[in-house]
Amino acid sequence: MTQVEIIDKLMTLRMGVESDIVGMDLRIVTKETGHEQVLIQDGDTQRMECVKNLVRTNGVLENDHELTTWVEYRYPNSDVIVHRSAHVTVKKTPELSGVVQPFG
Amino acid sequence: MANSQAMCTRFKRDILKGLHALGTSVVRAGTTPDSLKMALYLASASRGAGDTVYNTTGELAGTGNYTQGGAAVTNANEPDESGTTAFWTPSASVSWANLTSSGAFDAALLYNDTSASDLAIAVFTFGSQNVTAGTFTLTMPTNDATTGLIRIA
Repeated sequence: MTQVEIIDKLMTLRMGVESDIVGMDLRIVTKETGHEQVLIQDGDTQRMECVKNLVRTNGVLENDHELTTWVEYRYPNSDVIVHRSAHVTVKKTPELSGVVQPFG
Repeated sequence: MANSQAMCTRFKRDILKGLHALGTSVVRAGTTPDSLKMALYLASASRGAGDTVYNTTGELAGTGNYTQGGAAVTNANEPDESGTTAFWTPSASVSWANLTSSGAFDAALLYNDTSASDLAIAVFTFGSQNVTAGTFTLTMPTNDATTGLIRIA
């Protein structure tokens, strides 16, 4: 199974991950045009851009400590990421051991 | 029955509640919960167990809608205990909106913003992330003895 297939499988198995990603990338639908828009970095400023003008990729990282989902957008034929959001769910952190030293 | 040597679980919990002061002088005067914050650190930084206070070394630059010092941590959870473990977890996610990070980051420092010197509590790491005009969210684990964010076992 390739990495892409594993990600697709995880996305399928984990109901809600896809909607989490959609929810966290700040997409909005404008009343005037009905187009979905997303906040992008344009040089030093941020502005909204129609999602249909962008290429979207997303993914999942999961291990014992975290479940991380991310989504990013580029313009077609560009390597420059103009939007990237990430959502880290902490699963488990190292614990502190409370110990007492025996006498003697 | 027989005696058994152990650190009392209630003591572990009460440390988290600030009920013990084992030093030679009592410096704590407040009677309200402390305000906590989380700050984000570049993957190139060297945060860890040796940190004693919050500082800006290796922190994300104060650009792209990131404010150095980090974000407030919502705390509506009382430290609790289960079995022999005391635990505590923030009661809400910590989130940065419209963020463009100044570089790849992979760590968050939880610190006490009420203390005059911003005393460090813990460093948490995660897979390295870059965020561009986006949202970065840290969702807390389940607040129990197995997965709680701060656990004294």
